Amino acid sequence: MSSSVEAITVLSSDGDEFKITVSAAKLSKPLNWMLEDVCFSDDCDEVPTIEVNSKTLVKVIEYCEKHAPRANSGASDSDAEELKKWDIEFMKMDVKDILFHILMAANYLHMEGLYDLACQTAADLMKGMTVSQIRKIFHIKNDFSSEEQEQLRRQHPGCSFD
Amino acid sequence: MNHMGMKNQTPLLPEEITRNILERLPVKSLIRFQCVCKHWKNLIKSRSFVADHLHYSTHQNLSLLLEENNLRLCLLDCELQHRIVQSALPIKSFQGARIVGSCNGLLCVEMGRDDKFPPSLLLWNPAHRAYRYVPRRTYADSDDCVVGFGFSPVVNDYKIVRAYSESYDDVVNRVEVFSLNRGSWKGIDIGNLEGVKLCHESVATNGAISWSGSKLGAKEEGEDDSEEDDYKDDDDDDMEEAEDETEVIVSFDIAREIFILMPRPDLDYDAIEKLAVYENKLAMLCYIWDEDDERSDTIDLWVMEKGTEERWNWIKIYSSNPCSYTLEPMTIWRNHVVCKASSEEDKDKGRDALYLLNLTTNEAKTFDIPKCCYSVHSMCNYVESLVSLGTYR
Repeated sequence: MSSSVEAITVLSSDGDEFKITVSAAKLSKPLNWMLEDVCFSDDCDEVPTIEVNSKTLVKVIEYCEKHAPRANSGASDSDAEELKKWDIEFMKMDVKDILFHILMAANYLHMEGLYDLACQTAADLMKGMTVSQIRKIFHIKNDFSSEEQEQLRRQHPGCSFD
Repeated sequence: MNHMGMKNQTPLLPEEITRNILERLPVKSLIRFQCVCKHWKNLIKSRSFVADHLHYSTHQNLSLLLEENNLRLCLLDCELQHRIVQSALPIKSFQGARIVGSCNGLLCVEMGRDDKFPPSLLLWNPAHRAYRYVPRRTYADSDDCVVGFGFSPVVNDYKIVRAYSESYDDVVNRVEVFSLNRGSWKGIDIGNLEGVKLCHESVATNGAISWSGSKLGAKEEGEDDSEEDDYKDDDDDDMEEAEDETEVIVSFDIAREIFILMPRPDLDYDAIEKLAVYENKLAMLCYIWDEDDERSDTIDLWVMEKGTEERWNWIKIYSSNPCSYTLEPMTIWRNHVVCKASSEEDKDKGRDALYLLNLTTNEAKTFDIPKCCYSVHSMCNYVESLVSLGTYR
């Protein structure tokens, strides 16, 4: 039974080992299923791999450990306020640096709360970006002909192609 | 693969994740990002994306639109921050203009009634900075009309209803419906509206537009006449008219284009009533003001639960705590009854305060109405959307 241990060890896609408490791991559906399926005990030497790189996994585990107590027991309004502030601090990261990796990890690990938070953070960052900055981070090529660009500019005076 | 070159690059996001991010962007940004590439342009314009964006915004970013005279508008977001809505419409004067309906980010505006009848109507998406005049029709035999605006998911269409009468506060004698998909007006049978007067204010929800009204002559079957008579003796002047007028709620089914008459909540007290929408259901805010009533200065919320086979059931789901000043319930917004209040102090300063009564906790939150909208006279729910105004000419 998984209840015999409090923390498990997992491997990142880079091959580094990380500890995560059982209650924190339960925030992810796939990790939770794994806990139910596999026998984890002190003498168990099985170390599952999570297909997330080390840098991202550190952040994901940090998020899980912070949110686990509240997810498991419910929380008062003041706790919720505190957690909201923590989330804002936690999400102060650059898109280029790690945010998109967090998004993909949250999607892959079925973590709804982190996924929503990361989507909203990405949207908030994008609001202030130019179209060419957007193309760069999403790896998109401008495929409009110059006539089409002219037409779009006429239809939407706010449109800018750079 | 050159790992050094990858270092400062973002990973390529799957389409689904990109879409989930875009759904959270404001309309202004999405209009700009149509220029990113053809695929994004088509995505942002697609019906399914517009619907998903609207769905997300309605749940996360439902704002309250405050309306002053002559279409001066102020928007209050969920953090209670306000901003003025720039009309950006190329229209000289908004003298007498008013909002007749707000639905999925579209506003239906009636222009001033002064110069012509019926007044012009305008459909406007403020976030999209798009507007469109509704074609005009004129009738020589009518002098007044009541307007309503709403959406039906069944036919996926926005419609405007106009019910005409010979003069103000008279029975309806002609009805016409404008469909945004069709782009034109169509006269319809007045059906159940025979002998019915309508109040000017309407609300729209769940594929229907509703008004308060009264039906002349008819009395519902099975109604207890003797009780009515007793009542009449108590208060002769007020009840003079009630003898041949039944108060009703009129609902226009947008998909089927028919009118349905429904009873009002069965109140055993005097109240000022106002139609509203609660959790997509028709609701009525009742403000009890009778000084002899121990419950004076409280607000009740009644909600219409539809039973089987067109049986209607009003259920009271909320009663506010009595309050020491006069509250005027205006609308329901994000699980709150929004009220205008005037304390003596406020009156001296010539302004009103807004109160938000939480329907779950009964907590009251107050804040000053922003300077830009001191003399707010009506308010409605509003959400920014990409919904287009159709392609009719």
